[in-house]
Amino acid sequence: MSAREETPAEVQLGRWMEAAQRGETAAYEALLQALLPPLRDFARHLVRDPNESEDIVQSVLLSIHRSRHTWRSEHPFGPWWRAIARNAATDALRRRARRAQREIALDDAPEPATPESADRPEAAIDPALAAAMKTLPDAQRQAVELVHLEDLSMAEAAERAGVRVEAMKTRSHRGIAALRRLLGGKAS
Amino acid sequence: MTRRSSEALLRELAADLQPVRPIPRLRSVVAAIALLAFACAAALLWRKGLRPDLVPVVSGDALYDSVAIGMAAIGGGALVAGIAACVPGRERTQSRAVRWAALGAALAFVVVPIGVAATQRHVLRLPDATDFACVATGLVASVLAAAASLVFGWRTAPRSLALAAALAAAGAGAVGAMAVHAVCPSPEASHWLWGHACVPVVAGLLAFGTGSTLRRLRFR
Repeated sequence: MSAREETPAEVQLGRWMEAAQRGETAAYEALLQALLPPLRDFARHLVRDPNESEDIVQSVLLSIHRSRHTWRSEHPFGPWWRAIARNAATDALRRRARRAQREIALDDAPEPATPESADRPEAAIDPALAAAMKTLPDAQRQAVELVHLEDLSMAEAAERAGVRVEAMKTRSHRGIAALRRLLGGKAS
Repeated sequence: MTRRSSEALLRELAADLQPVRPIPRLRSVVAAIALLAFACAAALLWRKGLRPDLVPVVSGDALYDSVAIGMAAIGGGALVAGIAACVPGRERTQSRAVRWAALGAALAFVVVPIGVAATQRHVLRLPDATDFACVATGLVASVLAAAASLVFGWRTAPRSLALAAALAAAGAGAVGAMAVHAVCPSPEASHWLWGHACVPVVAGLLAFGTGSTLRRLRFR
């Protein structure tokens, strides 16, 4: 596709992305804000549940953030972000399908840590879950504790762990997936 | 689990923003990796020398030429497809390149056995140790280019690092296989098939495993 086929809106998105690649926060925020409505439309076409479609939107936002260096300004912006959206949405739907196959009521098990046990979050949770958490790799256990037990945002958890937001998201996701496998196996 | 709004995530991502350097142009990356693959192939040719009967066999055996042309198509197609798979929005380039690679594979793995059966000049047999030796030589000749494409894939974080690495390594392996094909004095079509044409297949499989492992390690 040549640059001439781009709509004026996509040209503007490309300008914002160029600025974002230079580190201009305001341009990046404007870009992501502009992408949000089409991303929501796209996700709503894929799943009806508003919570799940919002999960897809967030996965796509993270993918765009992680892949922002793969866009070059001489290429049209539209095909680039749409490809990322398609790929991230496909991955999210696959995860959703896998999760549906072995879902357990994990939300019922862990309560947020009490202040007394804040330095040892697994002390306040179900013993089986605490035991399962001990088997996780350190990075995944830390991510699950920070995000799901201490209730920190991804950015706060990432800052606490000294990693990037997308790495924290992935570690947390893998940690939860591993816990589901471990606890699901025990339940059966 | 606490659910955050996408607007909150968006603000977090903006706050997390760091300047990035865009990746090089696709054609520059392909050219650089192809150059590396050809340099390694040239080193193999220089070290072992061309087979003494190269000219008569090229002009007199269509099956030999089919393997060579098949490797060339796999080399170009799979390398471009592997690199394009690392860049979002280049799916059309990738699928076109995959078609070239598939044509090359068909030429080597379908046309050659049919040719063997039809002409009766060669006998098709199972692979043996001499075939494995040529596969190993081809892999050694292509390992640097395959590693370079893996580094590019690591930097760009494609949707499937394993698939991108496998395609690019198959391309690099095919260049190595072309060099082996020009060096190895074997007159057997079976050996060309198992020992030469299988180099990109084995390179692709090894790179697929490496790519999967690296991806798991990256997000542990």
